[in-house]
Formats: sequence, C-alpha cells, structure tokens
Amino acid sequence: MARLPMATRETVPQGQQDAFDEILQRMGEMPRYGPPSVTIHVPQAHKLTFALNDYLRRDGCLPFKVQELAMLVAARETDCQHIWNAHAASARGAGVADALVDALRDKQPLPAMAADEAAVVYMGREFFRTHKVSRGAFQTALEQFGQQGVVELALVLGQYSMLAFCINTFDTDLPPDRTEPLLPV
Amino acid sequence: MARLPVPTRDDIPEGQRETFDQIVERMGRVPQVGPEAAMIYVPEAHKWIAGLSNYLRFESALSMRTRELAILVTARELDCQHIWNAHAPLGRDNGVPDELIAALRERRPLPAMSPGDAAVVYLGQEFFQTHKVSRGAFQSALEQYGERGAVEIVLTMGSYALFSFAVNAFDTDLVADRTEPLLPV
Repeated sequence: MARLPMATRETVPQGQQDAFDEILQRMGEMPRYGPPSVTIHVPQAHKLTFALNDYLRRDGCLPFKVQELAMLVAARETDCQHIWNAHAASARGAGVADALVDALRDKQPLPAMAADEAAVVYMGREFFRTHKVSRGAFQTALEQFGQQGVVELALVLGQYSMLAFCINTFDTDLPPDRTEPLLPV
Repeated sequence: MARLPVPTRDDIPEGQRETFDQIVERMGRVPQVGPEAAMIYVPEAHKWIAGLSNYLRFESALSMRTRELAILVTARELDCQHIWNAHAPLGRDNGVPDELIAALRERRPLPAMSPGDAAVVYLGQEFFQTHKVSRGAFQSALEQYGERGAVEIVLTMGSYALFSFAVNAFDTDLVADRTEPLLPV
C-alpha cells in the first residue's frame, strides 16, 4: 500500500475542491498510481505541475525520443521504479535502442550512442551524480538541441526528478499491469 | 559569464514572445541571474514553474520557516550557490536558527532541532542522498505537517531541485551583492 490514502473531495484543502473536480474530470478516474496519486492531494499544485509537463511534452521543441530518454535517465538516477516502468516501453517505441535502455537499467557499460542520445545521458548523469555539468556535456547538449532545447532538456530532467521525489517519498504502488523489469537498486 | 547570454525578444521561440513580455514586465527586466536567467528562454515553461512556486509560497499550508528550510536543504544537497545565497537570509529572518543554517552550510553535525525543522531536514537529506525516505522520516513529516503539508514540502524541494538544475547546468552568474558565505563544495 502507498503511504497516503486516496484523496477524496472531502480531504483536499478548502478552496481547492473545484480544481479537484476539474482534474478528476480530465483524468476520468481517481489517479491510483504514480505522481498524480500524490499531487491530487493538493489540486492547485497538481494543476500547475502538470501544466509544465503538458508544455514540455506537447508544445516544447524536443523530439519525443529525447524527452523519453531524459525521463529514463532521471528515473534511473533517482531509482524511481514507477517512472522507469511508465517510460521504458515508450522510449523503445520512440526509437531509443533496446541495448541502451537495458544498459541504463542494469547499470552496465553503455553501447555506442547517437550524438543526441549521448548528450541527454551525459548531461543527466553529470548533474545527478556531481550536481554540475561539465563544459563538454553542456556544449554537446547545446549543439544538439539549441538554446531553447537545452533549457527544455534541463527542465525535463528537473521536472522528472521532482516527480520521482513524489513517488519515492510516498511510496506509491506500481500499476498491476507493469510490463518492464524492475530497476536493480 | 553564464553559459547562455541574456536573451533578447528575438531569441525567444515565436509564439512565446507575449509571455516573455509579460514576465519581463513583471520582473522589471530580463532576468540576469539564477534559474530565471535560463528558464526565460522558454517563457511558457517559465510561467508554469513560477506559478507552482508562487502557489507554494503564498497559498500553501507551509509556514515561511518550513518553506525556507526546505529550500536550504535542497540547495545544500545539490550544491546550488545561487539558491543558498538567496534563501539563507530568508531562512534566518523567518526563524530558522543561525546555527542550523551554518551547520547545514558547512556540513557539520547538526544542532538540536525542533521536531518541525528535523522533519524537513531528514526528509530532504534522505531523498537526495539515498533516493528514498525511511518510514521514520516520512512519519515525522506526516505528523508535523499533515498530508497536505508533506506533499507541499516534497513539491517545494522538488521544484527547487529543478531550479538547482537550471542554475548549475547553465552556470548562471551569482548576484553581485552576495551576502552569504559560499557553500563549501
């Protein structure tokens, strides 16, 4: 069981019931898994958090493959099973090579990568592991994705570390229809 | 010099220039330092992140003391000089003891803390250092701040992790009138 019970209209803060209704209507049912099952407890914050997600996913300039790979790097570096499971299959579908997905998951030496893939992996790993980004990793990302793209890449990595924080703190349940092997941690 | 120049309106993606104008008008000029200096390249994303930040600051159930301490723990764990410098004085002004701030900064053994402060510090340190949160740290946060407060603390730390990513990846300049000692890193 996750550490928080499911939110209800009665448990969310006063003044946020309308936002709660709106989220529920949009999602079709109460979120039971992953970050929305946590953030729904504070509907106003939920709406703002997922507005950023929607921007990055739908309106940003990064190709889907780059977004998905960034999410996988954030999930692996923060040991987030939910995000890993939710995005490994879509990353494969978007063109991230199986060999790269599997090597990231199992912390094995990485296979040869395309330049855009390497830019994502190195920028994410450097930040999560050392809290800084070397000139080489920064420059690679800038050359691959441009100014808007490199900012959006940092935001995707940052946003998914925030979502991982939500998941891991509240220990949300994994969906019963999980398709991916667990991250070894 | 930061890694990205201060953008002009022409550097901003078409379709986001009105949002750029609104942000610049609200801030008084194009942001030159800190996470905003990077995020302003993507005004639509900037807007949502700022919205979440404002919610957490002005509308959440968290006291300023709790919020500022959560931000300081995040800045220390992620070695973010800009956020540390910006928030150490706010932490002091809102009641976070000086000796706790100094001990966090210097990574010295922490002084005796109030249960409210301890809950914030342990939750943040555990997540950033181990990627998970023990039952004890979770339970302390829940008992001190309730479900809503615990979620809002996690979102505060998560959003400041995102800001730290933006600051450190783009190596933004520190403000000229810095008042705080640097974080030893």
